[in-house]
Amino acid sequence: MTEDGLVVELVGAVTVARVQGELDAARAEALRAPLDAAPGPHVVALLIDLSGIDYLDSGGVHLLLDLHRDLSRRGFALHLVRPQRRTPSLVLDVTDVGEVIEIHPDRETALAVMDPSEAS
Amino acid sequence: MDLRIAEMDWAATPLGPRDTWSPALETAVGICVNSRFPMLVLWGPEEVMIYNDGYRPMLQRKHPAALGGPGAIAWAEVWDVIGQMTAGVRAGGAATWSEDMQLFLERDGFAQECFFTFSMSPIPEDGVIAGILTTIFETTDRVLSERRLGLVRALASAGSDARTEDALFGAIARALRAAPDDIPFAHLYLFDREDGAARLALSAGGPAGELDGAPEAIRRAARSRSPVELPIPSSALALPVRARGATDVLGVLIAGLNRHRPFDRDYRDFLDLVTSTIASGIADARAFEDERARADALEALSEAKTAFFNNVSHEFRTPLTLLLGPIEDALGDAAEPLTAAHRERLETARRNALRMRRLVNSLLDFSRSGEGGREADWQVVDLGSLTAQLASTFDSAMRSAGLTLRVECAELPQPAVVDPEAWERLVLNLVSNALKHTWDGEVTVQQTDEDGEIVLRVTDTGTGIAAEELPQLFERFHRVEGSHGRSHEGTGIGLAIVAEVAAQHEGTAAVDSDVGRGSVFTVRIPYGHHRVDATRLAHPVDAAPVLAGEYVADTIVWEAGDLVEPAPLMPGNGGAAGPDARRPRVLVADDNADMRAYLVRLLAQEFAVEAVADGTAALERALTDPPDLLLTDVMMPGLGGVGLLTRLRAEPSTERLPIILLSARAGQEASVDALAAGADDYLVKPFSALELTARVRANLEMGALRERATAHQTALYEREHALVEELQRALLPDRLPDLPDVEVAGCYLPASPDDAVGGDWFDVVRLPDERVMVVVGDVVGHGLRAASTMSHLRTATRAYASEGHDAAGVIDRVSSLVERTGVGLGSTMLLACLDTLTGEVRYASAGHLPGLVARRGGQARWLEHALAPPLGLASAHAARAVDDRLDDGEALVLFTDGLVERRDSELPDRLEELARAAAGDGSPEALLNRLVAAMDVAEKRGDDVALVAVERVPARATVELELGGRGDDLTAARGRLRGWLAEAGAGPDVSDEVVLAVGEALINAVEHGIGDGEGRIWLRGTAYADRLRIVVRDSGRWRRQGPARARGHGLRIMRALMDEVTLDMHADGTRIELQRRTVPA
Repeated sequence: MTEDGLVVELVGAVTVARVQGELDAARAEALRAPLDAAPGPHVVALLIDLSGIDYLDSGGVHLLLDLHRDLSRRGFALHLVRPQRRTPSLVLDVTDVGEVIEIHPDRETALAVMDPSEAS
Repeated sequence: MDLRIAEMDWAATPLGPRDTWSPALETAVGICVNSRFPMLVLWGPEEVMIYNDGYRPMLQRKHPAALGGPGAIAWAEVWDVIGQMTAGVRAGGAATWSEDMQLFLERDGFAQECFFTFSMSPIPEDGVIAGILTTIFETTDRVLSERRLGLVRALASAGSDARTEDALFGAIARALRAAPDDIPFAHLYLFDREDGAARLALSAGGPAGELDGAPEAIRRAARSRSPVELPIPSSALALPVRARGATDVLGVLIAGLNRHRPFDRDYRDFLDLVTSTIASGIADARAFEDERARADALEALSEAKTAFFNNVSHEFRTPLTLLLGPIEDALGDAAEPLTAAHRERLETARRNALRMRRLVNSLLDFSRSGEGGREADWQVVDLGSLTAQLASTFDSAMRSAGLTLRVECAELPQPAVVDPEAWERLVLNLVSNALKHTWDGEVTVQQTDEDGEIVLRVTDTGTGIAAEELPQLFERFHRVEGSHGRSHEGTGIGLAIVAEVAAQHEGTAAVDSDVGRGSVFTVRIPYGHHRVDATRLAHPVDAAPVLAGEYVADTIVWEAGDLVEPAPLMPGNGGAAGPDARRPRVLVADDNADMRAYLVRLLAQEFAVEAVADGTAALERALTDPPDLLLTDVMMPGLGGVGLLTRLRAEPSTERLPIILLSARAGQEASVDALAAGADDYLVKPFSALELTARVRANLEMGALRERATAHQTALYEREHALVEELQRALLPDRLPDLPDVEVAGCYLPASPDDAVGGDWFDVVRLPDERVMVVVGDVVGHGLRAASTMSHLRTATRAYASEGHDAAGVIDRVSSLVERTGVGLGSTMLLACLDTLTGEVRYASAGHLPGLVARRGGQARWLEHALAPPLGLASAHAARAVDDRLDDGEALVLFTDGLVERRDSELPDRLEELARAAAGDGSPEALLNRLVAAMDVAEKRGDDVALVAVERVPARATVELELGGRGDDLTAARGRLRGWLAEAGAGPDVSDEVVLAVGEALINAVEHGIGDGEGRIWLRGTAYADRLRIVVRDSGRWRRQGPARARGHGLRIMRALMDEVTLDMHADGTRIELQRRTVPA
């Protein structure tokens, strides 16, 4: 089990938020405000890096979908990095999150798509 | 759908933004979205549609536009019907239940005929009906397949009942007209069997000849042997009519198509079945007609033959006389004597001409005597001399047959007045008869005066005649059955003539005989002086024999030729008469060696003949190696012809063997008897060689024809059977549910392989409250109707049980449903609900046999005291629920009466037998096998049998948690679960997934079930041998909490990770059951 954690950094025009530990319903409520506020003035998109999470349930999925809806209303794009662990990765597929939010296999691929100038 | 419902902009709909939805609406939507049954919510006065994934296929392209829109718009094409129903529900508030309702839905661009079974339940809110929850199943496939099968069956029975083509066409037209749904109109054109022209045989559903392009389509369909579409605007096909597997196209069926059904594979298969069924019917009807035509021809032949005999005798005499005259002249020509060689030839000619004249004369005599007797030519003769001369003409024939002829004709005291020609016939018949039936010893012809009468005795040392034959001996055409005679040619009227001549002379003819010792024929006549003037008595005429030559010639012919030929086979030694296997094989059974030889000789020219000497040998031969035809004598020692016939008809291998009976009994009555006994044909002795071979040939052809017709019938039957079986598979539970906490076994034995569809059924269903429902039922009747009734009862039982009614409640409701609809009236059922945790059983019965509790290694016991009347016959609330308990190692067995009812045993004895057989060890499946074996129902049962057994499965590891409603201890709960899973031996991946799925179930309980921490959540996990089962229950009403957002992600996750997820929402809480196999299945 990884310690729960949230690290937010700016890579070019993209805010990258790295979530670790368990992303269940309770944790999702706790993360909602910080993630919602993460994209700053010069940012076009938010990338939530889930590669390090151990647990993802429908509460976490709801958080992601809510963020997507709120951010797009404000003009931001939301992308995800796929969890490496099998079960949480499966949850994203089962809930068809990928149909709404773009999911990338890793952080580099994600950034290359989101901000080509920065990645190269 | 849940995501789509969540994302939907509801503000734009009459329902308004989701935040504003009422709890009742949210509840309805929750039930709908979480159900895997197709469900639809119609909400508000606008009847706004909200539906789930199961429902989507019914909308086809109307989805997603239909979501959130008024039902009246999405279902505009059927709203005239549906709208009335919803209005009714909203007005009256009563739920509806519609079965197989026909609706024409707009699909694939046209109005399609579809069928649905659905219920509409009102959803009340604040005292009014705010919406309607509809659960709906599309039953189009089943209804269509039943409907189409019905038509095919009607056509098949039209074919099997019709005796003529015309009758068949009438029946087919009626069947088609009675079921116009799938073939709105039809015109059957058949190709003439002679000129090949297509002729209209029948029309159903509209006049023929109005279809453009029909002749061309008929030609093309016949040539290509495949369906051809008629040009637009006809929606019709030209279908070649031919029996399945046959190449001959008998005709073409122009079949109109149901404009409201797509022409899919099922439709195509159905039409194929229709045409092949019609073709089989035609083949059968033609076979019948041919058979009857042949029978008519035979009858006409027989009438013509009688007329012919009546007339021809006269016609023959003249040419015969003209033939004999010159021959006699040539032979007696002293002036120009013949050479030895010529004489010999002419003597042969004369002998045979004489013989022929004699036969003709006999026939003539006979027909004359039948017409009232010919005028007697009374002459005064020295009868002693005449009789002696007549008898002596047989001297050489007797000698060549190795017999001694004694002629002892005393000189009579006075002359006699007789008809010399008639007397001659009398004497010659008697002597030749004696010669024919005597193999060694002597024939004595004795004539004396006894008490003023002339007494003629002809005594032989021949075969003799059985006492029972004696009374009929002098009847016309009577021939002694099985007599050991020399010749079987002849007219069979010889002794009748004797009797008639004796009577003509005011005398008598009598016979005295001992079988094996010989016979004495005695003729007594008066001198008959009154017949002439006294003056003539003084001048007896010299009556030289005129006929004797013919009679003797006759005996010489058969002595010389007919009998020296030995029978090809000795009695009883079997074996084929010829190596030619391609020739039809005829088995001949006759105890008379001569008759046998005669038959073999006659038939061997055309057929492979085998002969046996008695009925028993014939039976054995016919069964070991069935011939193509059996020709058997009626009278045989031991097993006679009729007995043989009966035995052969009872055996499958010979039930259709053509059989011809040979008998001496003439007359309509005799033939009716023979035909009633199952003979194909009947020949009365004497018969001509020609007639025999003609009949044998005709019956062989008929047999072959019948085989073909039967093959058609069988093929048709098998096809229909396959269809019925397919239907059965669709109706019976295809497999029992795989439940972790009970081991289940069930089996269904059809009444016979021919009757795969019966009315017995069983079912095992998990109920929302942990329990398992086990039910067995017996629908009155068999066949398709019973199977369909069974399906209805099963569905209703499931529905009522999942509504939460207990055993008695379910039975009461099913019973009142049956009473209302009349479907399944008098059917019985036994229903038990088993709590797999505690073993408690609650059961109720509707007229059914009690259930049995089998105990491993112990005494079985009965579940009794629950009896109520059969379904539909009880007053309301008649069912009684009785409680019992299933301990570890106990299995509950429910069965139908086919298992125990038997004609030869009393029911209590059979039940006792069943209870005894239940003792023992093993799984429910082994238990069922044991019961079936012990009750000996594997074969020849008259009824179908359904039985089902359940036994609880013990648990390995369990976990029980009780959580508060706030959901703040979920992390801890997941920890407990991980511990339990480790104890149960689950690997890390399985553990992760199960923890996640259970976590979702808990979230669901927190979010929807509990109001602000006041409620409780219970979790029970049980690990069985090969799987895990977790049940999460909460105490609250299902309610929505938090902002409007995508619902159902949790459910989706659970379904993805677990093998089975069952979600039930009830007034007193929500229950989620999860199951997962721990080892790969």
